[in-house]
Amino acid sequence: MEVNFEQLLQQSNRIKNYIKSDVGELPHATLNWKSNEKKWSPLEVVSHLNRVYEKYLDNFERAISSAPLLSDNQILESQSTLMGRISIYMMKPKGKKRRFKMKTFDFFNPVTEPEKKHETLDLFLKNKETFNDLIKQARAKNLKNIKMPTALGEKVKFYVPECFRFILVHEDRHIVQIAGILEELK
Amino acid sequence: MNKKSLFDATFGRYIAISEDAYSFLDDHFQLKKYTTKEMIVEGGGLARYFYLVISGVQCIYRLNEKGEKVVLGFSYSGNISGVYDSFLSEKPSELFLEALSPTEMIGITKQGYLELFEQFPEFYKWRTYFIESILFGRMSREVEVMSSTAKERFDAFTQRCPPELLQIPQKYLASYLNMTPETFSRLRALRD
Repeated sequence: MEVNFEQLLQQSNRIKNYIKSDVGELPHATLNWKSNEKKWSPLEVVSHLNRVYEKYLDNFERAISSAPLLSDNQILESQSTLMGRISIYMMKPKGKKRRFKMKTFDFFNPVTEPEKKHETLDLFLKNKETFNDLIKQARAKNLKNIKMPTALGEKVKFYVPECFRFILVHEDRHIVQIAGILEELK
Repeated sequence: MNKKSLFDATFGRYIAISEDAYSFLDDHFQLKKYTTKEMIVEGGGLARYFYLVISGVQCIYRLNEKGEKVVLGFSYSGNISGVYDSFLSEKPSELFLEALSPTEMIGITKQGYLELFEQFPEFYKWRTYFIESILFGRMSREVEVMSSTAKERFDAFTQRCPPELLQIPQKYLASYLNMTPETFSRLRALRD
């Protein structure tokens, strides 16, 4: 099957619009609310997503810029790795449920800065722009057999479109988390 | 096609354009260039411009539930282009607009577009014609898609479309005509 970059882009934009309009409009207290000290506030969730981008954006950039251009009439077939399929499956929320509870790596822990609402949200939107640009650049490239590093261990590498998907299902998972926090607060 | 002849073809057909209006249009319609396969408007993004096409072919489509492209229309040299609802409502677009060949267009922002009618109310007359032509086009398209055979759709399309449109990848034309690429190429072979 052909890689569906348009769908990736649309999903990415949906997440961007949610953070920008729905989360961005929340009052200060709601953004920083958490049910107990061990849980994250909505703002901390966004900060976590930023830390993920910090780690991944350069990896995408390197993999995509080194790839040759796709020639006319050439299409990029979907490829996947075993670890990629498992990770995407586990990450993907099912409806409102997040299965396979997991703890994040220390280096992805959010920075807690309740006062820095605008900085955190603006940084997310900036990262999202870069991420979307990378999807658009990738559309024109022949990424066949090109793998990129992940944060899941030195030996775990994903194909580039697969990694886009991984990042997006991970974000979906956290959108569900934010919706859950807001639900709890009601 | 230069800017002035585009203005004449688009607006001048329906209304007299004053010198002041020409210079307003000239100031506010800015040149935009897109390469093949470049996204002009993306699904979930904003349509920031209302365009007039100088050259190239553009395709407007949405993704269905399976993520497949469903082509809704094309624009090409001399046409109007853009995603009008997102442009006016400033809400995220449900549709994609993509350049299928190297594209040059001129675009006006929403602010400029609204100002045009404020400063030159005669353009409202054009807007009525424009909306009417879109409505009629959509109505006949609906009839075509819902009640005619694949062959009828193919014949009607090849008769009305300019040659440059037949140069684009067949899968886009097939999707627009609501048929499989196989049916499209079979009908094409029958005609040639």
